[in-house]
This record gives sequence, structure tokens and C-alpha cells, in this order.
Amino acid sequence: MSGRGRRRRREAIVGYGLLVPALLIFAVFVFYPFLRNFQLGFYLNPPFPNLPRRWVGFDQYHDILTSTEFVNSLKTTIAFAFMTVPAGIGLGLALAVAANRKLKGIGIYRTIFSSTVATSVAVAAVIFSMLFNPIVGLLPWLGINPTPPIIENPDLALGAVALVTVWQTLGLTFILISAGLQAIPEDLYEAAALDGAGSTTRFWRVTIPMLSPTLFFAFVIGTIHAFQSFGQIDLITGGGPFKRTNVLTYAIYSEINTVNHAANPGKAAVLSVALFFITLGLALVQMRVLERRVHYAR
Amino acid sequence: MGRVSLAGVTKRFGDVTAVDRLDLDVADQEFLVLLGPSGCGKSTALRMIAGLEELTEGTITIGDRVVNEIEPKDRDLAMVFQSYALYPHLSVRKNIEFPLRTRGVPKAQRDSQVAKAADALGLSDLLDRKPGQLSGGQRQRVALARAIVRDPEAFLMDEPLSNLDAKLRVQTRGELVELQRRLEATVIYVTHDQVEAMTMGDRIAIMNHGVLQQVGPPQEVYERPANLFVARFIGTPPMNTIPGELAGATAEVVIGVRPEHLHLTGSVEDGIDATVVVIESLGHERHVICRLAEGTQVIVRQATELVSPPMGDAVRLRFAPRDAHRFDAVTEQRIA
Repeated sequence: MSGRGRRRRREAIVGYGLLVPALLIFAVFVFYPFLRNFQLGFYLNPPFPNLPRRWVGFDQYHDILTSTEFVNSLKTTIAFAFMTVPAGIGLGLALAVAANRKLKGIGIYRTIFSSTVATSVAVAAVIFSMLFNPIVGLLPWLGINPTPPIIENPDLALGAVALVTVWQTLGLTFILISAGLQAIPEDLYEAAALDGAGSTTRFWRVTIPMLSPTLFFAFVIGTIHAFQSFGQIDLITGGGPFKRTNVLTYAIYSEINTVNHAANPGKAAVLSVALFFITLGLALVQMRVLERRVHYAR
Repeated sequence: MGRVSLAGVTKRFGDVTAVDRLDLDVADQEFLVLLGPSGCGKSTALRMIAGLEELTEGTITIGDRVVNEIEPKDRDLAMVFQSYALYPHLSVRKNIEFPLRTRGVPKAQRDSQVAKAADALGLSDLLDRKPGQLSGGQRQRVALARAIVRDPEAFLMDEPLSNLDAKLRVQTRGELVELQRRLEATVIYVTHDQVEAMTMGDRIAIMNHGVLQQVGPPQEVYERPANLFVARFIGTPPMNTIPGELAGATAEVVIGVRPEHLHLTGSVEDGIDATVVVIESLGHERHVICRLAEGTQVIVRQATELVSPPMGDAVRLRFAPRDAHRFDAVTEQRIA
């Protein structure tokens, strides 16, 4: 072997050697559970512990994925994403544009707008539960007090949880979009102003296109976030009323919740696999469809 | 096309006066260069004309309108930025077309005007590219095309050549002047490069510390600098300045002599005693740097055909009285 080949081999060994720790962690906490989950979905769990589980292959996948329960849960999840993602980005954009001025004291507003990034889902859920509370809540005090109460109301519960989610993610969206805005060179706005563009034209012809990579990124992660939301649903509505907030993550959780006597890890596995492929598919579609309209400055 | 006029224009940023009572008249179809070192207020002055900075005091008139309160978009100006400020998400065609679209020019007319501007700047083959795919020189031409696609009152240019390499800068310099003549355009051009100012401007306005120092045709500014700052700023190498006294007067003066007007002579003739310190050969000419007895360094510009004095040699310097510029040592103003 030539000296060069030997050196290359040695470098490769060192390189892979350095990757081993990370690979091990990924293997134990990501790859193994991921594959194991697929496998779990092929077995029907016994009604009582310690009995052997039964191989049913794709039957369980088929049964669950065609059930009304799954379809309803998926519809709820999609509705939830539609309620949270566009509203969250729209609000984040509006606040970021408003705060992106050189004014005295603007830092105070920036801090307020981004503060929810430091709030946990649990805190947000508790705050809003209090606001929605039919007896001591702020909204009922303001006269917004439908019967049944907001979070027990089948027509309003999902919207209420969506509101909490928008509020809680607003800080992150605001920071993301603010960073994107600040990266737009000032002289583009000046050039546009001299080229005859008023503020509206500058917003649509300069700000939005220059911000498109950021908006695209916010859209993709926002959607993935929406499909994975769990904490606020668990804490505020517990999937109810009448399963009207039973999004996929919550349905998965219900199936493995030990309080649930009919817990079925196999079913939960099937639902998680479904959620995985749906999220993956969404991300791919967004990349293909949306990214064509995105301009990446070089 | 139109004239641009500044009267008592002042800009203060807090305690700093960036532009101090600037009076300037730019004639129709004139190429006026605002020249000065960085921080002298020339860019601020240009940005006030553009409407990108508000005036603290004074009046700006474009054509027959006072434009102090008029938005940049309604001032009917075109500007070329140092960074070019091209819209990176738009093709070259869309970039050039932008000022026409915002003003609602119909499609057919837009197309013909874009084609004309692109043709004038040799961009016809690049219309579908994005700015990111162009070289620096090409981007600069797109910025120019975007400016000339309309027929504005005046063109404002903020160091448009400073991001080009030296060779391209010289070439573009000539092209810009040619373009200005062809379009019969009024141009206000900001630069810190005196060679650009000398070669391009019909007139040069020299600024320092926010104050206008002198306005005039390049040759006049070179031959009759109004004060010591202008004398030292214009010319490469700069004018030699020697402290002295005026015969028959008590006032202290500074004598200025351009390097090409200083001559080395044999020791028998009268002249100023000096020692050769450094000799710089530029190929087509030679700079002989000498130290005078009292310590001042002066530069003598010499043709290479002449015999170079040895380094460290004692020499005598002579100049014709008509080549000497006299400045008041206190006010630094030219003494007629």
C-alpha cells in the first residue's frame, strides 16, 4: 500500500472512531426505538399482562388506519395545524415588522414580544386555563362565557387550545422573523424608495421576498410542531370534550397510558408510525411546493 | 432633466454637524462631483438630495420644486448605490424594470425601455440571470441600467466604482462620462477618489468636515486651490507646503509648490538646500523625496530621462515664482 493510501485509511479510522459515541447514543435512543416501534405494530397485545402477544402482521395497521377514530383524530390534527400555523406566522410577522424600527424604547416591546419563548407549555396551559375558567377567568369576566364553558365546549375547545399554542410559539416566531428582517440590507429599501416604491410596495416587493427563506422555515417547523403538540392538550382538555381535541399525539398517549385499562402498545405503535409518515410527507411536500417560491440570497 | 440647488443645507446628528450650511447649484446636464475624505459629509449631502436623510436646516430644490417635504419616491431621481443594492430575488430584467413597474408604466413600454437600457449597457444577454450569478462589473452595470431606464430629473451616484477592481474602474469611468453626455443627464457623483473627480467632473465640489471648501472645474481647482486643504487633497503626489515669510510683509505664509514644479539643480545656483531621503521609481516618472534643512519633507517629480541623484546627496531645489501658491498660515486661505 502506498503511503498516501495508508494515511487515508488511518484518517478514516480516526474519523469513524470519533463518530462512535454519537452513533451509539443515536442507536440506543433513536434507531432502535424507531425500528422496534415498527415491529410492535405487527403484534396484537394480549388482554392481560404476561400472556404471549400475537403476530397479526399488517392487519393491525389496516384496521387502525381505516378506523373512524383514526380519521377523526387526523382531521382534528389537521384542523389544529390550520388554526395555529398561519395565524402564528401572520402574528409573528406583524409584530416583527412593527418592532423592527429605530425608536426609543423599542427594546421593551421586543422583550415583551419574544418573552413567550421562555414560557413552558405547562405554564402557558395553566395561565390560559385560568383565563378560560368559567368562574374566576378573565374571559368570562369580560363577558365571554358561553355555556358549556369554553374548554368543555365541543365547538370551542380546539380553538382554545390553538390559541394557547399560537401564544406560546409566538415568541419563537417573532425572534425568527425579527432576525430575518434585520438581515435585509437597508439600502434595498432605500433603492426601492428612490425607484418609486411606497411602504406597501416595499413590504410586498422587498420585505416578503427577502424574508421568504425565514417564512418558509417557520412554516415547516410550525407545521411539524403543530402535529406534535401534546402538553397543552393534555393539560387543558385531556383530549375532550367528546374527543374533539384528540389529536394524533394525544391518541397515541391514550393507548399507552397505564391508567387506560385497554392500553394497547401495538395500536400506539401503529399510530406513531402513521404520524411519522404524515409529518415526513408534509415536510417533503412543503419543500417541493413552497421552496420553489423561496429565494435564497447568496 | 433638471437642475439641483442646495441652499444653506445643514445636517446635524446630535452634536455632530455632518453638513454645514452647504450652498451648491448643479446646472442642467452638468456632471458635478462631490469630493472629500471619508466622513466629510459628501454622502450625507447626497442622501439629503435623495430624501433618505431629513434636513436640519436649509432648502433643496430639484427642477422648480422645493423637495424638503417630498418623499424619495416622488422626487423623480435615480440613484446608484456603492453596494449596487440590486434586488437579489429578481432577475436582471425585473431589476431594471422595477422603477417602471412601481410607476405603473404599461407592459409594452416597459419592455422597450428595459431593452433599450440593457442594450446601452451591454446587458442584453444577461436579462434572465439573477444578480448572484453576475460579476461585480456586471452588477454595477445593472445598477446603472436600473437608473437610466427612466428619464429622471437627475442621477445620484454614491461611490459607484469603488467596488470594482482598478482596471475595470478606469474603463467604467470613461463609459460613465460617455453615458452622461449621451443621455444629457444631470449627475451628482460622490467619491473620495480625486482621480475620478478630476477625470469625470465638469465641476468638482470639495468638502471637508461638512464644509464646502471649493467648487470649480477640475483644472481650476488644481491650478488655483482655494485653501491649504484643497491644495494638499488634490494632486498625486500632493502639493508640497513649506512654511515661510513673505518678503516685505510681516504675515506668516505657507508656500505651496506642486511636485512637478520643483526642480533639482546643481549646487552653484541659488535655491533651497535639501537632502535626498528616498527615491521612488514609478516607471514613467520618479519621485525624489527630499528633506529641507528645517525638517519639512518635499516631493520632487522627475522624468526618468533625467539623471537620478544618489540617495543621501545634498541638492538644491528651485521653482519658478509663478508656480508658487501662497496661503495665509493662520486662516489657511489662498492669498491672491
